Amino acid sequence: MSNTLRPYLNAVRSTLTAALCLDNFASQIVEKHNVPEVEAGNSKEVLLNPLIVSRNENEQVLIESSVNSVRISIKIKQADDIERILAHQFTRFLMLRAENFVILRRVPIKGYDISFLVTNFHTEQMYKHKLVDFIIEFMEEVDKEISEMKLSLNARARIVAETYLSQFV
Amino acid sequence: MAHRKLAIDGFDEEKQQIAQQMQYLSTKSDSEVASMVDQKASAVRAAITRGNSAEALERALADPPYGRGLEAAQSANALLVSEVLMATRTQDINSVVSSLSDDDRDVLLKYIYHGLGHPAEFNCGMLLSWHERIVEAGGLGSIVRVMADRKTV
Repeated sequence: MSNTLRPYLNAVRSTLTAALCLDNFASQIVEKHNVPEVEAGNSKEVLLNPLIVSRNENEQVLIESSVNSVRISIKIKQADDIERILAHQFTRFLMLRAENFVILRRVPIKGYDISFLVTNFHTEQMYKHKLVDFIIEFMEEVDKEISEMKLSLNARARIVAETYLSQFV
Repeated sequence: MAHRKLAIDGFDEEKQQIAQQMQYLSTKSDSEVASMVDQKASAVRAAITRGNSAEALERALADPPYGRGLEAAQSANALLVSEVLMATRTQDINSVVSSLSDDDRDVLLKYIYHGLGHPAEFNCGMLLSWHERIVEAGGLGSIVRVMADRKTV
């Protein structure tokens, strides 16, 4: 892990651990409803200040917390067009299968590439530290995955071009 | 069926008022606060040139402009704080953080999150290393206080 990545992930980890302090909280507006307050946004008094942790302009995490839910949005590093396409396809692939990832949100927040929504029911069913670990690991892996895909894409393109052009030699 | 997609709660004017009332409102005007920050800045810069970053930081964090409507003064103060953080040597960070009082540490963490929210204007690498030391010293409680406090910087 590079030097600048470690403090970034540490800051995200501590902020997330502090934010994931959730309790069951029924809607104050509609009887017998229980909605994630951070998504509904109807009662402002249960929302906490949103926090942003960033490594640079292209790599940011937005953590919006409320009494019964936390929304985590990640901006993935995209240096050039290939990385932009790969990141878009990769996050799209995951978000189409959001129900398998439990906490993944189907649509990212505007300005971010992928969003997670953790509610009090998730923290009741799963260990909190494992949830935090999952998100940190996802952030580590997604960068690695995209740079790997980019390398193999370039290698593949080179082989294809060589094979194609060899017939003219 | 378009009416079914309207979130009618959003049109409630009372709701907007509640959202505004929840933000902290300073009794001072924008220009008053801005001049206060200016006055502070000269004392802070003098302390920096003397090499006393603990004192500079304490002065920069004293009486921060809170609440809505003071954006100019707030960003000026945030830049002042980041100036002090930049001037502090890496090996001094631990001693400076431990010399701060608990309240000052929370205010400093607010400014660090403010800086991390504007990565174009601030040096994120430096802020992240300060963030780590403050959380080490103050624990997760200081992050929770930053999230829950309505006195935003």
